[in-house]
Amino acid sequence: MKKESVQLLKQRVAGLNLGRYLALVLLIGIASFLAPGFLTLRNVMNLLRSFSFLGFISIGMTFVILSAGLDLSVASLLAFSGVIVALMQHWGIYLGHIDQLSFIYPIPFIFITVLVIGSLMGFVNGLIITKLKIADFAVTLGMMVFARGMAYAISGGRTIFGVSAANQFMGRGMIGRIPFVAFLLLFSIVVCSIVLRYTVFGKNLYASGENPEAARLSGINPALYKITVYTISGFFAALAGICMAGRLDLGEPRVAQGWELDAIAAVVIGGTSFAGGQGSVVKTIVGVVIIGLIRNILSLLGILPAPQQMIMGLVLLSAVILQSLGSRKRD
Amino acid sequence: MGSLLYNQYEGYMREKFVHLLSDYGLYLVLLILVVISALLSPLFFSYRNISNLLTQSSFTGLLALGMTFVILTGGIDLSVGSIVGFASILYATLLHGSIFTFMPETIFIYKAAPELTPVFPLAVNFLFVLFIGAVVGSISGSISYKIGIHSFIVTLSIMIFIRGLAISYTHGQPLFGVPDYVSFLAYGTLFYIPMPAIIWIFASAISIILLKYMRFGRRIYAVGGDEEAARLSGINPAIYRISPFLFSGVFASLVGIMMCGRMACGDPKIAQGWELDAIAAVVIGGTSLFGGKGSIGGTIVGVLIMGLIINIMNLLEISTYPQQMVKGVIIVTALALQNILAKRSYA
Amino acid sequence: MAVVNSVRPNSTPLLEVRGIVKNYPGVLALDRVHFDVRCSEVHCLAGENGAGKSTLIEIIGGSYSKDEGIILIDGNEVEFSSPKHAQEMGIAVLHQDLPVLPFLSVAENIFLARQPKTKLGFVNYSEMYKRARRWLDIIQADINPQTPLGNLSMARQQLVSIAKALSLEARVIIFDEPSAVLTSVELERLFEIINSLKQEGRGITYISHRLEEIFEIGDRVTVLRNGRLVGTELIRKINKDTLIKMLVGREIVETTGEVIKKDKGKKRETVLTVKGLNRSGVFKDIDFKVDRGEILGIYGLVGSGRTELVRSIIGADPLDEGEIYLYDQKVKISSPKDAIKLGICLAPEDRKRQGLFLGKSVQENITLPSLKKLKRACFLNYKKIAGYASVFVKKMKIVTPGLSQKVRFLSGGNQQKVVLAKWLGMNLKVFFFDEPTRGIDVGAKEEIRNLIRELAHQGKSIIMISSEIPEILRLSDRIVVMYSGRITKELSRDEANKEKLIAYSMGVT
Repeated sequence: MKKESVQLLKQRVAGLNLGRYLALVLLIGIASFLAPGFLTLRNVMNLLRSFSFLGFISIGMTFVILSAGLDLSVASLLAFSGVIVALMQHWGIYLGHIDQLSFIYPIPFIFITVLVIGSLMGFVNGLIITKLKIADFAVTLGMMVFARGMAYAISGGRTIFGVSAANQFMGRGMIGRIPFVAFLLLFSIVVCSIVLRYTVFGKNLYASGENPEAARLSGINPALYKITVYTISGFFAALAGICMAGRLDLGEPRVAQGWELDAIAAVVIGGTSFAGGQGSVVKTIVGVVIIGLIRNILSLLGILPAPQQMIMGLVLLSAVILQSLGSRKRD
Repeated sequence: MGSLLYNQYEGYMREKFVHLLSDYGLYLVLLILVVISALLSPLFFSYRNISNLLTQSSFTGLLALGMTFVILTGGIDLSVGSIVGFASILYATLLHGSIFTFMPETIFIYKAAPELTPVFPLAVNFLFVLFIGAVVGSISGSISYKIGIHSFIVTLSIMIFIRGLAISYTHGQPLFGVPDYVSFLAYGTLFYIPMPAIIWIFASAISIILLKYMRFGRRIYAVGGDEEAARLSGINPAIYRISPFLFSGVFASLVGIMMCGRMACGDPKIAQGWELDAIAAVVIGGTSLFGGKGSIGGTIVGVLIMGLIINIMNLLEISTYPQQMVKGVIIVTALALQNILAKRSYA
Repeated sequence: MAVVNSVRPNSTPLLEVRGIVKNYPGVLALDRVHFDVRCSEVHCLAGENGAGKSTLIEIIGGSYSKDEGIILIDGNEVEFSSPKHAQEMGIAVLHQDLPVLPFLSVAENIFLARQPKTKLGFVNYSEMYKRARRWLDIIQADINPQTPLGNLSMARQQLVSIAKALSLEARVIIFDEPSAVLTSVELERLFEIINSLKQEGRGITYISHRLEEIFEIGDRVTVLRNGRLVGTELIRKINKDTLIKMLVGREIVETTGEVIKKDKGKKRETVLTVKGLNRSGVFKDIDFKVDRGEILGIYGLVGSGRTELVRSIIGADPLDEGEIYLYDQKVKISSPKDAIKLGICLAPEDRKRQGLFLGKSVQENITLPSLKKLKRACFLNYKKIAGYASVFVKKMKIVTPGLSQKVRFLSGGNQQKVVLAKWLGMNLKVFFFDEPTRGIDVGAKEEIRNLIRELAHQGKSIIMISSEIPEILRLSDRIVVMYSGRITKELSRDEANKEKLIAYSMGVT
């Protein structure tokens, strides 16, 4: 019995995957060594804000990957949402008043509309995947191209400058010395963690991601969960899009190019398995912070965006390979 | 005779119709699109328009050839667009006298030689670039097969990496000035046929021979269809899973070289998103994403259909952005149709 | 057609295996088995599920390696390194579920990886079609070699694989339960082909669960039981009864463990009734009912449609027609979710793939279907959950270091207990158990059997599929026997015995 308890303890420690926390500490160490001002409150808050946008879509991606899916459309949905939220605050654009703010209807409704549109597009992803039985990546690839095209089409490819104060607050406002968007992210993390851990929905999601057939025989409808996670992913992409528009003070169809890859990398580095059914939102956030720190350090080292991209490609590839080798060892 | 087993076809004609539709429906779509284009514009059948259409289709067409190999084995290659960009800048730097341009600026300030001073003899430059494409492709294929990660995620990483490398190479700058024989690859004609189209036709012919008339190609089908069945017949799946990525890499770097001629420069930022066009063409051409089913002929038709749709949208003066949306819809629709037809004919 | 039935005992066998031993962890699949095939004979191989037939032919076909023993071809010892090697030595196995490439043409499936080439090294299609045509003509199969294989019916696909075997110059052709997918007309045709192959001097091995087929086509029969050789007999020297005796063996049916008779005084109440269940090509005209507190056993060989039947009843697979009644009320079950709501559950056959979440803890596996009851307001109450799980861990005597142990690390018996435990707290009425004791140790088997009895005693209705005859005889109040998708017989506990079960499950009427 004692031997078994030791085995159990070992499993628990292995389950924690201390490696990534070690990496986190190491990265913070490197960063503060490279830039003496790194650990100042101001800089940390800045970093927090810059992580948040990726954080939102990574949370959505976590849900999708938990269900053994993959959502390539998040970055495009983010850009699309950013464009519509800006457009709805520049309704006069269609009357020729480009510079003035003119709301289609009160700002809270605008936010709600955009969130609903984002969720709906995610819902469509899920619906096509489950009803027409097309591979997740192919459908979301189609949606990625489609949504980006929509973003360009409705904005005419132009940047829409200036959003309302309320919207700006979403992206760059501060509560005390902490950015509002970081609060929003924290709130999302808490809610999602509770949903995943403390509700029947969450437990059933894990189950249908790990083994859809066993889940079905246990009375769960995996297709329903698949559709729901894509809807959630669409919702978070829209939320990130609104905040991003506020942060940049503009609506822009070109933002967040390639962020879906960062989100995938964050989820994988965080330790959520591509096979589905394993992982958590908190782990993903650790992944988001690691990715953000790597990018931050690369910038501190004066490395240009392009070589940064190379390094991110390698980071993603090694994360996937390590995970694959790790899971092979466990079986 | 053994006709005892024969009398069990029910709804034979309907079945036949579905087969006909799934076999020849593509050509029908192509024909309809040609008719629509001709009706929309009297200029459609002009030499200029047709040769333009062919030239534009050739670049996607070449990428789609490589992609067909990959998709036939059930994989996918997202890195082709990046390889085009990388090959283009690599080839240009080779022509301008140096391959050692990727260095931090503080160590090595790259200055393109004002005149062309190729590093290697002419043909060797060309082959070197193709070789690099092959290396990149086989790395993707090997990692995917040996470690057992879906090629989608591997080539995605490679795509980011290679694009980053390409842009780092000359700090994002295009490198102008290419010799005439490179321009000829993009702008020349032979018997009134544009050069890119000739290259595309030639490459298609080789691919068809390889896939249809060589045992090698038939084994790619076998491995893609059912790896276990192939193994039982004594086929070593590794070769047939990895080599398609190699072909894909080679075709992509060939396109990169041709793009050098087309743009009159090497540009690391070109061909972003071209992998999607290639995938769309292959899928429209009826090749199954699950592998084992499809053909080069279908892919060629798929490329032409894509080209015609874009041509029609241009004729209708639809701007580039909605065109992108249409592409997204086309990919998903083609896949949905494929699934529905497959369900009907193999129920 | 002149049938050559003489077996020349003195000639060297085409293929002979001697003293084959194959060990799987915990199971001796084959124990010193001898088997041989001579030219111009059909040598049938018979045995119950798990007797070792499949293992033997996989070894002969080169797919599995043997632990001990020798394989001789024409009297020379050979060692097969791969299926391809066995093919080259003239052995072709026609598997039951043939791996085929449905999108490639018939001819290409026949000549996979060895297509004829032209002088220039290209695939010579016309030659390939011609040759395929020739082989297909030999077996008089009217199939166009250019059609995609997937467009053909199963029977015609089988003809294609026979043609492939011929084209490989196979001298020994092994048919692994070919009749499972054939209609009677098609089967007759197959027998004609087999007879003509025999006359050409090839050796045929024919595996079947159906006794009449063995008597119709076979020259000799070898019977395996529990991995051991029971005997090889000339068909013309034996009759059905002798063969059944060989299959059943003389072992005494276990009688340990009390037999709980049903309470005769209580009024019987029918819980579940199914009428005219039909799924084309899988099962047909299935009627049965189960009473309160009754254990209904379903016996049938693998491929008889028993697993498919229960999966269709609980809505996991489609059902073409038929009616299901629960307490005389007609119900519609279109998914397992519906079934569970009605109080019907299934503990599936393949527990690792269909019953368990291997990466999840014991607690999570046990509580998954009952989570709705374990909430406080909207949120899960982990205290309740742990309490609930530990009740069933104790009750089922699941041996685990803790509730958070991953199920992956439990033994087979304990895994099975977890599968069953998740249904116990849900107040269900009808339990389907598909092979509840397969592949687990003796102690756990007994505990699970006791649990099944106890459930019945509590008034639950139980339908249990089992391949273990002693188990099904001991536990069941009634037994229905399935054979090729139909119920061939219903037996009460008093009528049932081993001979009858085997005979009915092999199609004897």
